[in-house]
Amino acid sequence: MLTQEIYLIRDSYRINGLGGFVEEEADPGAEQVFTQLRLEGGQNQYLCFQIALEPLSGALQDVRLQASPLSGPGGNTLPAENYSFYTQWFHRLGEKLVPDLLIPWGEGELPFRIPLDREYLPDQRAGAIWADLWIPDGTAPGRYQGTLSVYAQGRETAFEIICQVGDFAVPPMGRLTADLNNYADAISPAFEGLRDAPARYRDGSYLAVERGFYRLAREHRCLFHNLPYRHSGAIPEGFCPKLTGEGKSMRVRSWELFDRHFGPYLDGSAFSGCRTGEQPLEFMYLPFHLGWPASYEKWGKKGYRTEYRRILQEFVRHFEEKGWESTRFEILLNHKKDYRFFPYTIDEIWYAHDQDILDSYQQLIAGTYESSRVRLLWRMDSSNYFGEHFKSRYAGYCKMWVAGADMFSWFPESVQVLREKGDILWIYGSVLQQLDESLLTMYTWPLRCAMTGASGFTVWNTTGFGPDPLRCPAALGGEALFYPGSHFGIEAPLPSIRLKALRNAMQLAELVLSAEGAPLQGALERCVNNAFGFRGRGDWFREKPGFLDTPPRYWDFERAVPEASLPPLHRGRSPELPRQLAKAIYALLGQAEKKPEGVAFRYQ
Amino acid sequence: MANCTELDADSVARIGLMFLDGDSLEEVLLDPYGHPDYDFDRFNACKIALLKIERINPALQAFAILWQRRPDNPVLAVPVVAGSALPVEGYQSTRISPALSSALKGEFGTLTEREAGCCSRYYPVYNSDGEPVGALELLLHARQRNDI
Repeated sequence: MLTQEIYLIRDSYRINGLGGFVEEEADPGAEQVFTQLRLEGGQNQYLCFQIALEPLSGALQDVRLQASPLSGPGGNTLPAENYSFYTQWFHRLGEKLVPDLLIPWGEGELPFRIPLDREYLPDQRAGAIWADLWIPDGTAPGRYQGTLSVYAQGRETAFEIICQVGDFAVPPMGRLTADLNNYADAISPAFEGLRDAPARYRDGSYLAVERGFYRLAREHRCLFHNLPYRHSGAIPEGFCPKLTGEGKSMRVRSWELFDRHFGPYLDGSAFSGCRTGEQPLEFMYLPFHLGWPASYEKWGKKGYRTEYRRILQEFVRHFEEKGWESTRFEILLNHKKDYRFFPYTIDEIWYAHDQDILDSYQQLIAGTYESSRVRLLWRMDSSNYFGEHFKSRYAGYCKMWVAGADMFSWFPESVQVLREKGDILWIYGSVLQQLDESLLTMYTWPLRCAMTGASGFTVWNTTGFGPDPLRCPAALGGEALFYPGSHFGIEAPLPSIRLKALRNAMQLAELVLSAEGAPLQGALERCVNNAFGFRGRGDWFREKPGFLDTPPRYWDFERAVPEASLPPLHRGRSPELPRQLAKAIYALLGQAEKKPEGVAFRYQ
Repeated sequence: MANCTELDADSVARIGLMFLDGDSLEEVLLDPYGHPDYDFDRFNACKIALLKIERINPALQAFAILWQRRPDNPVLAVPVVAGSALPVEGYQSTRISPALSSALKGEFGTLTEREAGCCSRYYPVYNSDGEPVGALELLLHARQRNDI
C-alpha cells in the first residue's frame, strides 16, 4: 500500500492511471518506490526515472518542478538543463490506463494535472512525469548529487538524485540500426494543420512536421524510415523528382522539391543540435518500384528499360554532385499480389515463381550504380525463402537483407555468409506489442541483434495512430511509437515511453557491442546470456525444422512455425531484467582499463 | 472534331473493352479457389489495359478495376486486377452488389452511386467464345485513391 502521494519510480515500470502499476509483476510495496534515487550509467547516454503522483484527494493541479544541478567530483556539475521532463498521457486498455504518449514539460496547452482530461480520463487517479537526464560525453566519472523538488498542493516534496557516472561511453553513432519503418504519407492525416492542406508539400508545413519525426528518432538512437510509395505505386509530391518526357527523352524536370525535402537529411543539417549525432541519415528508401519511374504500361517493352535506367542513372549523378555519399539508398520492391496492383509478391516472397522477377529486375538495373561512390543498394525483405536466398544467386544481387526473425533463427550460418560479402543484415518480427505488454519487449530486439550478429531490426510501422490515438492507438499500440501533438497545441510529433525504452535498450546493446573484438567481449556476452538464462550464442537460434523441405505456402504458420522459432523473449521474464543487466554491464565496463571506442558502422 | 474529354464513361468502356483481353482475364488467377496467385503475362496484359483505359478521358478521373465472380461462392466477387486504385470495397472478396451482378451477367453500364459525386459503372468482359468472364469497373470522380 502506498503511503506517499508523490514518489519516484525507475524506468522499468509504468504507473496505471487508475492506481498501481501496469506491469502486474511489479511489487509496489517493495523496491519500486523511492524518495532517493540512485541512477547509474556511462557518458553519451540518457538515464531515466519517473515521478509518480497519486493524490489521496483524487485530483491535482498546479504542479511545478525544480531541479538543481548535480554536483560531482572535482567541482564538475551536470547542469539542471540536462533534465528533460514529460507529462505522461494515459491510454485506455481494458481495465487499465496505460501511459505512453509524452508531452514535453512546459510545451503545449495542457499543464500537468489529475485528471489530465475530463473527457478522455475522467477516472484517472494517478499521474506520472517522465524524466530524462543527459550525461554528455566527456563527463568526469564519479558520483553526482542534486535535488529535484516537486511543488504540488501548496507544498514541496524534495527528492535526492544521485547519479554514478562510469568511465565509459555509449558510441556516438552505433553499430546497430533501430529501423522505424513507415509509409508515406501516414503523417499528414494525423495533424490538424496538414490534413486538409493541399499545398503542404510545397509550403514547408509538411516538411517541418516530418523533420520532427526524423529528429525525434535520431535523438532516440533510431532511424525514421519512410517508404515513399504506396501499394498502388502512388508517390506523394516531393518524395520523388518531377519527370518529363518519355522513352529516350525521359529525364528529371526538377529536383527542387525533392532536394528541399531530403537534402537536409542527407547532408545532416536536419539533425543539427541532436545530442545523439548530427551525421547524415544512415539509410533512406528511394522511390523506385515496378511502376516508377517507368510506367507499368510499358512493362515488357524496351522503353520500360530505357526509362528506368535513365532515371536511375540521373539519381546517381545528382547524388554524386550533391556529395550525398554516406547515406545508404535502398531500392525496395514492396509489392504484394494480394493487393491486386501487381502480380508478384516481392516483399517476403511466398510463391517460388515470384523469384523470376528478381532476375528480370537485376537485368534492369545492373550497371547503373555499382561503380559510383553513392551507396545505392537493392534491399530484399526475405522471410519464407530466406534460408535459400542468402546463399543463392539472389545474394549476388542484393546487398541488404531484412530477414524474418523466425526464419533467421534457423540459419545462424547466414550471419557469417552475408558478413563476408559485406552485406547488411537486419531482422524483423513483432517488435511492437500492445501498450500493456512489459517494457522489456523493447529491450529484446536490440539485444538479440547484438547477440546474433544482425546489425539492425525493423519495426514494421511506428505511425499507425488509428482514429483516436489519445484513447488508444491502432492495434492497441502495436503500430505506434510516436504520437501527433495537434490535440495539445503542438504541431509536431511527440515521443512515447516505449520510444524512450527502445533508446535505453539501444544504449545498452551498443555498450555490449562496443567491446567487439576486445577481451571484454566474452564477458559482456555472458552477462546478456545470463540475464536471459541462455548458455551461449546457440540459444539465440533454433534447430532447422523438418518442414523446411516443403514450400513455405504449406507451412503451418499458426503452430509449427512459431513452435520451431525463438519464442518472444520478453515472455516470462521480469521487467527488471534490463536494469539488472545494465548493472552487470556497467560493472564490467567500469573495471575495463580504457573506455571503448565507438565505430560508426559495422559494415564499411 | 470531338475532344477526348467529351467521352462519357460508356464510351471510354467501349474503347477499353476493344483492347482488354477477356481470355487473359478469364485465366488470370492460377487457382481461383485459393490464395491469390497470378499468371504473370495474363495479369500484366489486363493491368496494362486498365492503365490505358484510365487515361482515355482524364476529365473523368477514372480508376479501372477488373472483377470476377468467386467460383466457389457466387454471391461474392473478387477485384482481381486493379489499375491505379482499389475499388471502394477494398482488395478482398466482397458481396456482389446488384449493379456488379448485372454486369457479370452481361448488362452494360450498370451504376452504383457513391458519396460526393463519385460513382461506379460496370461493364461485362467477354472471352473469345463470347462468354462473360468478369466485369470492368470504372470508378469515376473519386475524391481520393483507395490504396493500402
